[in-house]
Amino acid sequence: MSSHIEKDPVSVTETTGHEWDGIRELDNPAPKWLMYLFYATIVWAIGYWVLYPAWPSLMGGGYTKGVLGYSQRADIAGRLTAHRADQAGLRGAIAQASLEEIRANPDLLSFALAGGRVAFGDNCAACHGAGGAGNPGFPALVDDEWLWGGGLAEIERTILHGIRNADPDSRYSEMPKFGADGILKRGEIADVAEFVLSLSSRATDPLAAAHGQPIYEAQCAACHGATGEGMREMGAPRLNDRIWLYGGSKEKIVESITNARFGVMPAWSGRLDDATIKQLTVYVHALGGGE
Amino acid sequence: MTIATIDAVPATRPVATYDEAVVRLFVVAAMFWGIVAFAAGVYIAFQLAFPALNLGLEYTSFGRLRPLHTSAAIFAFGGNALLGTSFYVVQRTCRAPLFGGWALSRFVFWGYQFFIVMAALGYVLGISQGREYAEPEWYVDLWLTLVWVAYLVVFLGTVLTRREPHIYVANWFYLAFIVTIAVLHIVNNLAMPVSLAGAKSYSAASGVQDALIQWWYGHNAVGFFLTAGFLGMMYYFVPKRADRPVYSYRLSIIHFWALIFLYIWAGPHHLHYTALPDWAQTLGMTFSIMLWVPSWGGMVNGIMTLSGAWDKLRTDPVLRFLVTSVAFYGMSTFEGPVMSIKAVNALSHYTDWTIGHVHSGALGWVAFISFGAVYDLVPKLWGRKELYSLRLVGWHYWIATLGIVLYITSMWVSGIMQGLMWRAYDHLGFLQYSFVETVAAMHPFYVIRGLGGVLFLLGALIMVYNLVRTVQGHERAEAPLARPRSPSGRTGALNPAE
Amino acid sequence: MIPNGVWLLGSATGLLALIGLFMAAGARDGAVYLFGLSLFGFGVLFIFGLLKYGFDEDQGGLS
Repeated sequence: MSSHIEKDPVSVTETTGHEWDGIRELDNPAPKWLMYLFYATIVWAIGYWVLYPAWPSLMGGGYTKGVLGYSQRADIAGRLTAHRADQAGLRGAIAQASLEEIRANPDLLSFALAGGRVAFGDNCAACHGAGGAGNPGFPALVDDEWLWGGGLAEIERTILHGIRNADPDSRYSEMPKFGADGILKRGEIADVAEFVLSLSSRATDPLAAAHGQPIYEAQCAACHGATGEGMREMGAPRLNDRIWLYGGSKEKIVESITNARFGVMPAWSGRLDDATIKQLTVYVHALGGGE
Repeated sequence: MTIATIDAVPATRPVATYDEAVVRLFVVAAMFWGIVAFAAGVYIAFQLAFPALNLGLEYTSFGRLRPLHTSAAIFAFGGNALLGTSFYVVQRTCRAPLFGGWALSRFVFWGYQFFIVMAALGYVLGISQGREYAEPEWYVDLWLTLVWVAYLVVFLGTVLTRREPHIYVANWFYLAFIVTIAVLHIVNNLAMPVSLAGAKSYSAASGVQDALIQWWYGHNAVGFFLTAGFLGMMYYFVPKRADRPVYSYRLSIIHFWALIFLYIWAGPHHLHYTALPDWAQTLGMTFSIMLWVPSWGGMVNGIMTLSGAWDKLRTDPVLRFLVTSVAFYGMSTFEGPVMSIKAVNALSHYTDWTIGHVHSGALGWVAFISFGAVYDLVPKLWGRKELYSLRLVGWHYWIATLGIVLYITSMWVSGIMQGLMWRAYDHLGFLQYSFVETVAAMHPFYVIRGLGGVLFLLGALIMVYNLVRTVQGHERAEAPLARPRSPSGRTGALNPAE
Repeated sequence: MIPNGVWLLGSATGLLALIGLFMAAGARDGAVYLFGLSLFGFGVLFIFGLLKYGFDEDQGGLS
């Protein structure tokens, strides 16, 4: 029961004499090492308050500034300024230079490739994949097949103005929805798809492909070319190789002919500065297939 | 259902009955929600490793299931364990039945379950205030306030009508938990509904003040729900199970008041290097450092209580759960102050390190102490002699411990790697890695973490099986885990007489 | 004998259930509608529970 001080036989320490539901307490002091550790943290905290901004005053919105005069905002502003100063020379040179000059100058080129890689990872990789490997519907940038052209100037224009967006200089073209808008019948679309497969020697039904050929020539060849070689002015992809943006199976080709595709890309001219876009251009150009 | 009579009450005191039926309800609810919480955690852990598992549905997306997991773990599993054990402990240590009678305690129980279900429904349907650990909207907040006040009335009323001269330390911690959570909950959820007929509300504070209030709440939810409350549990079940006196009464007083006073300041360390003024960050960090020892007071008192009873760990896996939980508690309450240091936080903040830290506390401390308490309680509450199988408790212990180790080590590695990748620069001053590269690098660790979660869930399922068989009155015929020590101090196996 | 507190708690819960019904009736979104109806359901079921517990208690305690 209560207030009956005993000696605990195991530790030979007195209890406090309290008891609750059979639980007693020993009258040990708090361990010394623990208390000294506690005091040490308090001393450390007081020291920190002396050095750094710490206690607000109740009136006037001021606070103790600390003897080190530290301010987080000044600190970050200083670091950013120093960082910009470090990069200012090469960054400025890139802003002044033409794309060809950047490629010709090893210092500018290595800076542009490093900066372009970062900008690509932050802005482009979400669609075009890490390292420009591409994703279904988003072209790979590491190969030598280009929808709108793979020269430096063409890549830069694509980045600056994007594709099929509200930018007045955006690249633009639109494929008709041959099935959805009733231009071709389902059988005709299947035949055209067989013919398209035959362009890369993959047709399974030569008869259907032969039926599809005149339709292809009438409806598709104007943009995609008589032998499926594509046309960059229209952003019309090549059809006579094994590189497919939306999938090269017959099903996928039928789907593309039926509903058409309308891939878009934003214009980056307002979002990234010109020097960054130049770095991106050089980087993408160097990914593998630049012309 | 049975009634426990207060035995050994002197004739001068009135005989009263303890309400154990409501504790049984809480224990069942805690185990049910525990399984829900662990399963949800495993599922979203694998979503991070394999995003296709979000199934393309809004209801099963990570953003909606994550608060479901955290709330199920903290408020549903942890909350039911806390409410249930607090009702058990307060009656026993105050030698008084629950204040307000069976009706009020039933209201607390069913009202709390109603809160959980309504909150969970809101998460899945996308109703959220967007405040971490305080996601439910105003109408659910109001309901919880009502239930919480009823809980306070029951608990405080029982303490005030106690038949013991002193209030046991476990009850100080439980009371601090109840009162502070009420204050935190109300202040952080001050909001104006757009209309009483609609779910949306707007927070009373805005900007950095709002953020500070949120993290004052968020950190003290950790401090008073997950620390103070469970310390209350620890202060009853560790000495009870070890059958030893609490090591130091004086230490319990010092660390209780130091903890209460210091914890409430530490919230700003969640907002280092943000728009929060420098001075507030300094205070949050320094108070977090000073909080280290008061937190450790609970660990020291818990571990030292075992002195003279360490051999029981060999025979009693339930005690092993309790002691290991205290060790994990000590580890996380050291890691926490370290992570609050601004220089460390600059690396750890926003990384998986934080997730690992939270889980060493949540799995190692909160869940383990609750498992220990529930294993101890179930035979008593259902009037059984022993658990169905102590060996299964041993299996649960090792499987769950392995799960925690996989979880926290993978998160340490992935978190520190992530932080280092974010800050790596090349010689030209450009960032070395893009964000998506850091995500890809974490994939293997996400898989390991998921496996850790699977083990933890598996352990909990073993526990449920064990408890169900116990309640059914079965007892497995099995050899004891280890022979108890002979009185001479030597183990039986070495006794030449055998 | 059912203690006065139970009558009080029962009445308060009934009032809450009624509020829930009004919330559901006036709800402008699915969440509040669902909450209101659920609150009504909770109130009704809890009062039934009180009745049951009350009779159990009356007939010799929580057995």
